[in-house]
Amino acid sequence: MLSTPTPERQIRDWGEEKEEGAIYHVVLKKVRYHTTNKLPFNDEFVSHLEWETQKRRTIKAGTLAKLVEHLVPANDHIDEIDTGFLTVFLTMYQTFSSTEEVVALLIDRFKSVKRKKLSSDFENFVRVTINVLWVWLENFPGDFKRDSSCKLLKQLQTFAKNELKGKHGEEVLRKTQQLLDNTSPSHVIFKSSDVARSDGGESGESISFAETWGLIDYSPTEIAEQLTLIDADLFKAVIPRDCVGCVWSRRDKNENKNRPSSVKATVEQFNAVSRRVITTILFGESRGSPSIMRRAKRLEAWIEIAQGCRDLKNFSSLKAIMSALQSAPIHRLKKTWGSISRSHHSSFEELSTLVCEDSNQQIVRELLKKEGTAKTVEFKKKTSLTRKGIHQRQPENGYISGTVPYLGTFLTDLMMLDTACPDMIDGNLINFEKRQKEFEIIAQIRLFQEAAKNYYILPDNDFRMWFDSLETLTENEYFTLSCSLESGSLPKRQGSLFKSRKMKSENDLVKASSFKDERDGLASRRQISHSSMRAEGCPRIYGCGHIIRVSMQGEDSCNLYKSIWVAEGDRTPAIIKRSLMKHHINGEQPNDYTLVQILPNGNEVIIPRNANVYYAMATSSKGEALYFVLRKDPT
Amino acid sequence: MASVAGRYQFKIVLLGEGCVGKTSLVLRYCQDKFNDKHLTTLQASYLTKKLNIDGKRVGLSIWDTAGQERFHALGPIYYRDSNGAILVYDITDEDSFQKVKNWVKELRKILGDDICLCIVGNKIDLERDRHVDGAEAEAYAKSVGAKHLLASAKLNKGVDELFLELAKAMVTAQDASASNGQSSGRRGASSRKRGVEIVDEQPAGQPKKGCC
Repeated sequence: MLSTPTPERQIRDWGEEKEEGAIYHVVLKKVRYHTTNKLPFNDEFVSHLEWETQKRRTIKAGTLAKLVEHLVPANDHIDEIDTGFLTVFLTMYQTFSSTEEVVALLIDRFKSVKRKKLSSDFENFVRVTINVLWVWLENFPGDFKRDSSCKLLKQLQTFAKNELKGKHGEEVLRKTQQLLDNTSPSHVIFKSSDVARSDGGESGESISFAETWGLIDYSPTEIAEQLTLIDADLFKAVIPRDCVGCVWSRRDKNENKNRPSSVKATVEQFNAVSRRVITTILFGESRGSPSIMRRAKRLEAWIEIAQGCRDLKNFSSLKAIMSALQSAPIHRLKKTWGSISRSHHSSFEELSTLVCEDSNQQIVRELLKKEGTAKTVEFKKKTSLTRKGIHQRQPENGYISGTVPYLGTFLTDLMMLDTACPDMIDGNLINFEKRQKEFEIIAQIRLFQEAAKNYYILPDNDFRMWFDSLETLTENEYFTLSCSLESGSLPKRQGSLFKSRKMKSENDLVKASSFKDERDGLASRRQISHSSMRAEGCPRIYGCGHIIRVSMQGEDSCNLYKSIWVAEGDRTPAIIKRSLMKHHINGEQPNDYTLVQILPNGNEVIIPRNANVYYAMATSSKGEALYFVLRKDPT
Repeated sequence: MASVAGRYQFKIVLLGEGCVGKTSLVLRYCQDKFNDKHLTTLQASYLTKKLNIDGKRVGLSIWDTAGQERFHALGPIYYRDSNGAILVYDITDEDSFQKVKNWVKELRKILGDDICLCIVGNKIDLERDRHVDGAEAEAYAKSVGAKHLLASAKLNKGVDELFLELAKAMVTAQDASASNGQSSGRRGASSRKRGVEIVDEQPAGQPKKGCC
């Protein structure tokens, strides 16, 4: 062939074409042919067709039957097979139909074309049908694995055997067989248990481990890397189709309840990171009162970790960390913020512009466009953190790095689309244009999923255990704790909190890059449950307080403790009630229990029935953990 | 201050559980700029609208983060610096009303009385499936100093009204705080600073720079 059609930009909108059960969008396309006379042996110019106008139809909306027809057109439109349509259809059809239905329609369609001799070039029609089936089986095997009886696969196999002869038909046959042989349930793409242990930390192993935590040391870069590794794994496991508005938003009340959602795992990890950022800043050695300096150092460390995530193009954890730093309990700690170094401040400012929501996250969207799928990162500008040796980044001239975008951006876009476009138009026509648009966003996700494969980070199980073992509290508890650390009237408006420009000189605070020695007390033996205290209402007093560890008498000694916040003024019954709630013991009367403090030397202090617990308990100046036992009174 | 030369600029956030129809309400309201043509370049979690209330020019920037409800930690990033919040529940869903109560608590705790709240019961087209008692919702709204309105994005009922009501409330609040001369701590949506703000101690009433 000497001439090849070259698509040009000369596309003319020809408007809509309606027929029974479908609406098409038609464009006229000028296709220019040009000679490939650059071949060495071909000096002659061969006359040929220079250009022609072709009609291209894309389907805007249609009944399911019409959509399937568009998938495997009979002769008339055979030249205008829309390969793009096939991918979009196969990706999206589950939003308006089911695998069974589509398979049935495809087979029906084939049979009716054959019977009625609708196609002048039947062989070509067979080829098209084979192509559709093959692409489907190859790229979306999960669609066929949902029913354990493999009825669909067997149905397709029979169909292929009887109708799709020839080499290509056998390919389909082979493919179905391959899937039939391989129907073990382990083949589900998403393995949540492997990647998303975001709220775990219940194993005995991690218990003993957490206690020896202080021996291990991670730099912010290492933490950023490990977080990135987790995020990348989760993001790669996201099934893009799960992100579509109508699937994701459907309330988890009924059938979706136990459905493993790949999206959910990412969200949970995001929340887990945020909570742990807050925990590490607010929790002290063994009790809830870290010094301002210590808090400031941890704050700095997290800013460095956020910067590390930025460098690794991990926009997910970056956002999680930044939103935690801007959450109410942390944001309000003005003394702490006043104590961090200037360079960390400016770094924080810079990073917050990346995660801000202004103009629909425009900054980060553009950044993603620019860097997202590029494999190398260049450090054109040095951020302030590279100064002073606080954080020695290696400004190599670009190294290979993957990308993890923040999934929420896509979820919102898809949600908007879902809300803005109706599912059906003209009554009974499936709005395929909507699916096309959704697909475009899904395609972006897929692109980034490819980019997420470009990380070369070794997993560190110790890190994971540490991460999982960090205690978390509810948002209310965090807030109360925060108020106890730095009192002050409640803000009229948050922005006005930071009025002090007094900043410590950097020398006081450099080398905050390590979490060493700060981990005691951060790691707990058992992660606190999130059972909300909201219903109870948090103590209104934002004064001082302590975190105590309450376990149930009789339950495996004090291994299963829950952290309870004791504010000044909390009475015994309230603390008992809260402890029972946290231990998920319902329907019991607080009066039936006695609260007992276990002192470091093993002695016990019984807290009186209606005491002000804060004052009644023994505290030591060494800041040791405060252990309590809840004992049921003999009846 | 948010008003410069008779111009008001407010930031409104939409909050509420997934599926209550937050996005539908905004899209309805901003429909004119939200036709099919825009949809390809759609990305509309941030929409703007201009209003004229009694001769006062009011600009609203409306933030909707539908789809991100389960990213819990995000709240503060969204509602920081907002002048108004629209808290949406679905009248057929008791839980969604509960969620609104949680939001109110949080907003009041963090932002105090500086934020105007508007609680909206959406989907009144499904009146016969109502699960949230209207009177109770009304009473609750009153108790927390919020407006309570009913709407149906589907039927385009009450949509303009709720944004208008909220806008009026924000104008009133703004005027009140300006005349009290206590506006030093108050920052309108025109201050585009995000994150931690380090503000020099400065005399109250000094004009803030810039307005968008």
